[in-house]
Amino acid sequence: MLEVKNLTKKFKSFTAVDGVSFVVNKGEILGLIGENGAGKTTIMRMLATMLKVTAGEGKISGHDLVKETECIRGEIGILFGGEVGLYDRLTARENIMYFAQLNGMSEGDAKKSIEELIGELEMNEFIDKRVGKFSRGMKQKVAIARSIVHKPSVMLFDEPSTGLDVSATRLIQDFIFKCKSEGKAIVFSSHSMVEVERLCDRVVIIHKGKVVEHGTISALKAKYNNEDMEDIFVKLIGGSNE
Amino acid sequence: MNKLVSVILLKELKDMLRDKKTIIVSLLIPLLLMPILSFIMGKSMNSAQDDVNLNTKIVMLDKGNSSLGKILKKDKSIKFISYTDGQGAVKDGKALLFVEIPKDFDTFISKGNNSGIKIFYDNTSQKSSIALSKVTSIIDELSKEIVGSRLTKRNIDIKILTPITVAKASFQKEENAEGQIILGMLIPIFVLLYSATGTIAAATDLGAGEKERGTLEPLLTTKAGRHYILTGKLFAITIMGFIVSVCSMIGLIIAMKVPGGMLGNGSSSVGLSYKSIALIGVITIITTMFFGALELAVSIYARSFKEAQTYLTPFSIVPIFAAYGTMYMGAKNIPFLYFNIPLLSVSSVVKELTSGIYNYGHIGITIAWSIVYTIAAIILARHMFNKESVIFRS
Repeated sequence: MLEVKNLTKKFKSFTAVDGVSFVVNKGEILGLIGENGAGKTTIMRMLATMLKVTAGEGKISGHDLVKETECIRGEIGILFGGEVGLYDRLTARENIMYFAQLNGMSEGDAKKSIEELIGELEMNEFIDKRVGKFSRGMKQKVAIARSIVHKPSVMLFDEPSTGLDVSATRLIQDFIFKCKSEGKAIVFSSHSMVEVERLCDRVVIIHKGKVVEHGTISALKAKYNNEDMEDIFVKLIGGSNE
Repeated sequence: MNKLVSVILLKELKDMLRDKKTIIVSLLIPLLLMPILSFIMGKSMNSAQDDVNLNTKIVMLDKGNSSLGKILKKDKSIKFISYTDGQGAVKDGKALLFVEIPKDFDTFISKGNNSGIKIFYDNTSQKSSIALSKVTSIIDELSKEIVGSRLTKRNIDIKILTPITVAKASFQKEENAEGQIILGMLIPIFVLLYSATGTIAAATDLGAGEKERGTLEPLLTTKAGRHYILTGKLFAITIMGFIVSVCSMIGLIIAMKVPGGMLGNGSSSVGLSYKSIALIGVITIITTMFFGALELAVSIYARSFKEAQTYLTPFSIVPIFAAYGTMYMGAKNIPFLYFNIPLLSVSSVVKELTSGIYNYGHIGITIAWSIVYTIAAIILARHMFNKESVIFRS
């Protein structure tokens, strides 16, 4: 479903991502773990075709990551952490409809898909209200709906629970599990080892743009003879283990 | 129009028009500013004039109870007040003028000599200046009478003083000419100023604002390519800018029609033909698109809304310089070079059009150059929008 080989990104002389390779299959959640500045967001942006790939190759749902960017954008859904990035003066429905149409959906298909999402995410009460006065949780629901309205086959989650409270975080996690159950290939980046352990089937640990370890969580725990993923992470990136 | 472009355009217009600040700043202020300003300033000027005409406070020191003093006293609109220090009264604003007539004024005049009087006034006061001109006109009248009687005594026809009489005539009615001069001075400024400033709020919101809100990244992950996104945004900015320009010009025309206003006092005829309006409209659209593209490029470069506002400030100043270039120039005497200089060409050709001059060479050159600059600005905006280091600049 999603495969990248030797993915590299350079900004002038600085190499942000250096020869990263991984595969994510249908119904699988891959965790990208790394410190701030490790290259996780750059990888996500390359997968979302926001950044051009300097070297390497990749395929998403059979489309070439370098040459078929428009097709790829129709196949992916992305959810960011922090500010969810909605238009305050538009209603929740208008926000979702806008992105559905920009992803090439007809008005009829978009309306149908939105109606389904309203039910699934319990947005009935506020779907036709302007987003400006929404709570964080309500905004998160709209952002989720926006990311999935065009029915993508691959989902990218870039630190989606940053700054969220427990219930909003749980909402995101439930959504990720739902995507998994629907057979979507999922890439999930996070700082939180607890979250990674809870959600991910496999992890790729990134340090200074390079893959320093990858595998299933149980395999990594066995390999490093340590039950604490945080200890393993700190050891791999060369930090203190005290 | 491409479907994606129209989706983006409609969304951006809806988003902007739902913003109360946009409605106030972009539509209501341009529409109402000139009429209100013209009315208030006109009212203030007229009120000063009326005030002086009805109640001219003067301190007069007529040492010899002169004929001039008597004439001034006959004028019921002049109110004489007593102060020992006449100059001090003017300085303090208690009187508008201090008139000092010498003791032997009438003696000198009757002997056919010249007599001087002193008038002390406040040249920083509009009312004092109006009073001065009122009193000097009374004195001028008296002077003419004195000269007339002196000449009559010598059996000389008074016409000897005016060997040439001038009969003035023009092809344009006075009220139309007044309106045309005002339009010729102000419309070029309005076209340039509002094309540049009317787009600033929209460009800031649709570029840096989109970055700051975090909506740009989700937008870039949609199937809509960057050129569609940019085109949709640019059209939206241009439409907003054009609406602002139109509102400002409607405001100007209303201002000219406001009775008692500063611009034309309500009697000015707005003699713009449909052809002029259409051509000014075309030039305004192209100029607005030029500024819109340039401002969008700058706005995209900025890290934040605030930074964009700082970078875009010069855009509200530069067009004024260009407009001043032709402000006091006659529409028939604009040098050909002006039609080849950015912005000045717009100001020049709009001035011609408001004067009813249709020089298609000038119009063609101006539109051609404007299109060239607009294409260059769009290329710059596109370059900025495609540049990763700009889009993800933080």
